[in-house]
Amino acid sequence: MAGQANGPAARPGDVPLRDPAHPVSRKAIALWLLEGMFWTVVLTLGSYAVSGWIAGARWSWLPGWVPDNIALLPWLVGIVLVGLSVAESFWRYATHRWELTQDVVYARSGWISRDWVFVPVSRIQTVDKAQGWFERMLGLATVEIRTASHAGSSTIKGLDYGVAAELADRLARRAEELRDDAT
Amino acid sequence: MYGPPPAPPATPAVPAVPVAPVTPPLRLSPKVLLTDPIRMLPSLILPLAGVLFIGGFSPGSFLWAAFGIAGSVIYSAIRWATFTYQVVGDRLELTRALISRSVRTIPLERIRGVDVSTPPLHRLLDIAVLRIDTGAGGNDKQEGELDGVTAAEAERLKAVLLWHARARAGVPAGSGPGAAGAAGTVRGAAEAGTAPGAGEPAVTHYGTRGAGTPAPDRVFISVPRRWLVYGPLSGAYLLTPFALVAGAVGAAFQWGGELGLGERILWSAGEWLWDHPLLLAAAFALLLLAMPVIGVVMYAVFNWDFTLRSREGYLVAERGLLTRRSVSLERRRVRGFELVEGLVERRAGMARTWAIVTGLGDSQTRGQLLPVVPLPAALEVAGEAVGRIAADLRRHPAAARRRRLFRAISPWLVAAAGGLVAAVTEGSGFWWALVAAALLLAALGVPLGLDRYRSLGHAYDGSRLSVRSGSLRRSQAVVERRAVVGWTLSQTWFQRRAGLLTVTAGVGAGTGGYAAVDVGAAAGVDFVAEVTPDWLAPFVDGGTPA
Repeated sequence: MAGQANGPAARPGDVPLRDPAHPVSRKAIALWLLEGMFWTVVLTLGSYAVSGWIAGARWSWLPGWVPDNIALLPWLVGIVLVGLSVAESFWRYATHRWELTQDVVYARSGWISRDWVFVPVSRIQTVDKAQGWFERMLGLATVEIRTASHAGSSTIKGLDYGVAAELADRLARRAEELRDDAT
Repeated sequence: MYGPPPAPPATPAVPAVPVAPVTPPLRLSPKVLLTDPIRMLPSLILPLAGVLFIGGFSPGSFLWAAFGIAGSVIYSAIRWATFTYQVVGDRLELTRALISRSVRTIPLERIRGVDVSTPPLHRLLDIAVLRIDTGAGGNDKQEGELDGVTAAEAERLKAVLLWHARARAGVPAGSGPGAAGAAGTVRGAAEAGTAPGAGEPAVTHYGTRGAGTPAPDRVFISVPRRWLVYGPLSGAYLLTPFALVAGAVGAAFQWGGELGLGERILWSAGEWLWDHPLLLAAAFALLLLAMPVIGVVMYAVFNWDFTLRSREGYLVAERGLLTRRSVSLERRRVRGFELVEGLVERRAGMARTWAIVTGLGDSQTRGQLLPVVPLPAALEVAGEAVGRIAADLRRHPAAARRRRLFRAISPWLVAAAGGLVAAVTEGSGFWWALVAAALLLAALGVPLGLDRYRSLGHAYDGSRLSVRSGSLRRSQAVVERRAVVGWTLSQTWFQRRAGLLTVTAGVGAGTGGYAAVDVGAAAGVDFVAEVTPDWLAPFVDGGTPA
């Protein structure tokens, strides 16, 4: 995994945390691709509208070459976004991982920037299992783990439905056993 | 939200609570018959004036106006007569039978605090407004308000409500995570009067505190009046003069017509003022000069004689000149404090303090522990009342300084570069002025970035952790270890290049999370491992996988 060297070879700037044990479902790549494509289409259409507007308006304060080449804008936006969403999908699959030990949920997410979240099971207040539109299509689910604080809450996306259901169930049962009201 | 403890045991033996005399339903003080109509007066004036005008001040119109006033008095009387409150077993019931009968039930164990405030009119009549905070988080409908109980009754009721709330909630302060989920057991034990082994310490503790030997009040601080002059340093109330003028102008437009001032006259007055810029400038200067004075006055009105004391498991903060406001914070729900210093305050060595309390709605006004006071006093009082941290802040690595500087300077440099391009192509003075302004801000970014870096720090002393950040508004939070409900470590692409990390401690109180910004990557993980070793150990590189 890029930049996530284990063992003594770690560079001083690396975060000395090991990878969580489980990757998310492979189908999550398709999920992120679908989501990326959706936004690519929306933004490309948007930039097409904007470029038409700018070409038509011919504002005096714009340098002359801008309206002349504005027709390229939607192409540029489309190509960049397609590239980004492909990169994002695979990069996210490499980054997103999760693990549940007896007492703690450990999850990593992100792509360009990353988050590591640690949620002790004893402080969990609710465990939700959610399915978006694309997720239902792919048979995936998201597990949302909430504590009394947003900074102590975690969302694990792109799990196989069965895995998510089992995780949510285990968490809910374990949380009941360990529940701690100190918050 | 904060749910009730898991499955509160059914309480079949409600009357078994030792000191729960079933009081008969009580009414508010009849004096509300005076305060209610007077409070309604502002909203009645316009209709009344309208009736008088339309009626041409004929005797008939006066009759109608009198009807209106009488109606409001009768309405108040009916409201008074049909509203009762009563403590029944483990709950407070507010019954209103005006049109339909409604009963609001507030379980005593849900009561987080009780505010008693006395607006001026109430003070004249020796009555008070009692507000019950159930920690329902901003939803005012969930909270009870008793507007107009006698001052003595307010004190009695407050004592009863808080005593019950504490006794029922069972777990006293300091029992920590060990008492996990024991709330139910302890409560049951307290009711039955027996003490099973597991809950014993908690119950005995509760017994000694609740057995009718109230600890005497302890005053942490009574803020001297001479400190009131520091109030405007926080920037609060400084804009009051301008707000007052704006309000006056608005009122002139709204009411001017009725006072015989046409809108045209007001406009021409404005134009005349506009034609005499010297006068306008003088007025503006006057307002500027008035800022600190009026700021001090307003601040003093709200923070007059601020006292913080402890009373039987509560922190009680009282303040105010016209409306005396008293806020009780349950001590076992206090998880720490936050110390805030503005730039000017820092120069003067002043600070403000808030308590970090779980489940406190409107914490910005309610959670205030101290107004603007000298920093040593703030630290001393917060340390006494909440708990001090016995460790110095650790500095963050030099890479954090580069990052703070970069973030403070680069946006303005980018703006300046953009402006420069435009200025060269367009050549107008406007763009050059923009470039100059952006460069000035970029230059100011240097001291700002350095100061932001100096503010950064984190610490842990074995029971409390602390993080600090910010420059224009520097804030330091000190939070108990047991309040931490999770951690988020985050790293942007830039932070990764620099080997930095932002560590956010999730806390189920206050703002929900307190972040140590730009810690070294290894130091950040160490910090988490230090505060909550058992959570992190399996995941640290080189640690044994679970």
